[in-house]
Amino acid sequence: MAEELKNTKPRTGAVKTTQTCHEAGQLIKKFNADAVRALQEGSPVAWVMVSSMMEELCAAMDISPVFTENYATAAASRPGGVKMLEVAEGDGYPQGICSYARVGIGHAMLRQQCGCVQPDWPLGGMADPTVILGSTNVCEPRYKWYQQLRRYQNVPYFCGEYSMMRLQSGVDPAEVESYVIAAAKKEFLRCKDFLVKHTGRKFDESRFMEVVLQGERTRDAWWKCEEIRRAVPGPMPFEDMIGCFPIGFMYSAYPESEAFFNKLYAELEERVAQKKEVGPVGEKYRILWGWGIPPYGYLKLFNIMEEYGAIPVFGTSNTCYGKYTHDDFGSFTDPVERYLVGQFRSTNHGMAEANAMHVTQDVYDVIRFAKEYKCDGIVMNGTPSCRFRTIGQMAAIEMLKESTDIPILIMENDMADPRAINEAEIRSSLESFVQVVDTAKRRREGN
Amino acid sequence: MSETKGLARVNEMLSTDRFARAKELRAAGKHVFGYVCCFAPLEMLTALDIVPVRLLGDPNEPQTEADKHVETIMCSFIRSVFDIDLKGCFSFLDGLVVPHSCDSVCMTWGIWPYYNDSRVFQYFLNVPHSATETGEELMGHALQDFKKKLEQFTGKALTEEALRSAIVRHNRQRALLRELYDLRKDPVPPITGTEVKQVLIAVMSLPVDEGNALLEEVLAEVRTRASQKAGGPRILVYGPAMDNGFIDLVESCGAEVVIDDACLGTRFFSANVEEGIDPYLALNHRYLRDTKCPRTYRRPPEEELAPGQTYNYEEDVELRLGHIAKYAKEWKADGAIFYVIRFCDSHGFDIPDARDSLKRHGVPVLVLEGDYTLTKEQLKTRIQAFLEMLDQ
Repeated sequence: MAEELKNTKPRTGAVKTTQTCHEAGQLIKKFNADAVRALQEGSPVAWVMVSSMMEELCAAMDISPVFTENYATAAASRPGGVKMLEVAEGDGYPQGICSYARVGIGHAMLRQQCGCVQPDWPLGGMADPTVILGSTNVCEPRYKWYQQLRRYQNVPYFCGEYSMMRLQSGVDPAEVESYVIAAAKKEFLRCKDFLVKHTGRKFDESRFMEVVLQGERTRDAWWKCEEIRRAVPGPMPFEDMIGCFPIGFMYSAYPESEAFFNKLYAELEERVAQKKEVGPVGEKYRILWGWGIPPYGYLKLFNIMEEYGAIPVFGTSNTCYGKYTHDDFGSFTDPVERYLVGQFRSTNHGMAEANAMHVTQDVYDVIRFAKEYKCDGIVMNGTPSCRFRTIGQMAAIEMLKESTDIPILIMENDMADPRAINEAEIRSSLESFVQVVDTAKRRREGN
Repeated sequence: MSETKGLARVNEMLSTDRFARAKELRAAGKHVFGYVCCFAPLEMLTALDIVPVRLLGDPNEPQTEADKHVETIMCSFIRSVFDIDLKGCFSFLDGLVVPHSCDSVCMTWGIWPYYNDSRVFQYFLNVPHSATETGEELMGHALQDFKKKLEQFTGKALTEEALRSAIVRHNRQRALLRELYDLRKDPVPPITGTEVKQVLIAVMSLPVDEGNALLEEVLAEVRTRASQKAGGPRILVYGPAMDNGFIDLVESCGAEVVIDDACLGTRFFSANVEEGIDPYLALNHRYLRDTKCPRTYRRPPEEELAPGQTYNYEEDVELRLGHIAKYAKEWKADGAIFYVIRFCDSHGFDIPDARDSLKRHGVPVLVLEGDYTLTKEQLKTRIQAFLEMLDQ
């Protein structure tokens, strides 16, 4: 009976608008299939935590990456994902900890029980890793999760110390950049040595420079797509960019990723020229996805917004935050330093401006993008199992009130635990919110 | 300054205002700083004649101010500290030091100064997450920045001589606390777990030398005392903050809490700062490497293994968590009770390994999860059932 219920579950994913975006899924599937094929051919596969300064390194050493957080987002909307959560919880991991991690740990436990990944798991399961690459950058689960994977998988694990690559409020990035990069370089080279030892792959500096330059071109092509989305009406909704995000963020080192964004840009340019609108009723209100991880198990929520003419024209998550390359990049002849400086500056974008305004970087992003994308309302999403992307949202409303009077809605839905998503509440809160946005917009326009 | 001594002084402090002495000192012209968690290098404050006091929450105070400004999906301990700060409980402080201990603390820091900018000195000490060479290097930068900011605030140089003296005095405090804890190795301990925790809180509220004097009085008093308990099962408690009445609750069920692995417990004093080496390197080692909080990543041995060599995961667990079983053995614990505060990622991820490590050493474990404010009756039932199981 339970299986029948699973099979008849109504669609929870989002219907996409742009044509190119449909190809994003295919490209990501191709990258995943490459990893499976690599494994079958005896080539190394690395499980990689994103933002761990390892994406480009894997690409340069021909090691196929599997991004475990990505897998958790895919599992969130598929039968089998909940099973992984439950299996992890059954070993004692509390429901409050990161749901990405619980999916990943559940996957490892089931893999251990079954002897191999099973075809009926979400996306057919993740290819077995040769090595696991985590880091202390961003949040605690990023190293605690991988540390726990070794309870179930006898695989060499590397954890990079990158906890200062993302700065805290009040710190001037320019003041600390040199020593943070020096320390990060040591970790990067340590990781390189670890990979050489455990995968047998070679590291070639000139090849790495090529990969770094490719990554920069991809990210700049991605930013061009984000910039054109300022157009009114917006040519591409946020849910489409969610689908493209892994290509720009995780697979930027591959030429097909740059080609993808160039194609997307061409489509967006055409949609802007033709003033093509998003959604069944067109664009009545422009909404900023202001802060928080989307509930990957229920991306349909964006289509619900669009039913009311509330178009999520941009998001401050799942995006890049500006042109990736800086004028002084040419002065970096060492590819590792160039790469790490790029990562550091991208991660700490807007920090100086945020510090000057005495707000957090997240709040600064919301203020900046709400203005640049001419938004009428802001929607945030609190994630019950993620401290890092949730704490501060309530405070943000108060900070935002000092610079904008546009309405703000905070929802609460988990990123990868569909049991912590309330469909009825999503619909009713969005319905009421659109009314508030409408009233505020009329007031602003003097109607 | 109070005339009472020893445990009577501890009781007086905790039943009235534990910060009374700190406030008195401030009125006399001293600077008083509050800090959270186990990672603030107190020696640097003491060396500059700043009085450090540990900030704790109030489990009996509804978090009404926090409810207005901060989410509930976070550590309810740090949320309580934030709440009572906004209510003015720490208004006497000149400074606040918030070390980067965990995500809840780190993210709360992001909004803290926005809601309370009344203090002249508010500082986030960016403690790296791993006890590795690079972690140590970054910690070195963090300590030097902290020194610079403290010197700017006080207008005084933080001399090496003063720092070395402070290290000796804080180490003395750690030694006295270990002596106090050692008394609970006795088959009939002369002091209860609840009393030990109260002494710890009192000591953390005083300048180091006064705390040491109080500890000496308490030790002298307790050594001549008879057993304080009828001899129930001996329990180890594990978890983050333990100032919320949890130890009292366990003891009210008939157990004796003889040892802990907790933020407000052994993690505060188990390791000394090494004397006789560069003091900043010694502080670096003590706070980054030797403070056994699960927020700190410790490199497993397999990173050094040759390709194809397999590692023993249990050995890695022993490296990270073996000290808990060691405590259980030394203090002859009959069982262990974990009380993990909901949404604590650091402890949450370690539950299966810590539980299994203790079980491998023959120590039965009860795992409880809940908020900083205890749901006492529900917990009591589970604790009593566990204690009965131990008795059988």
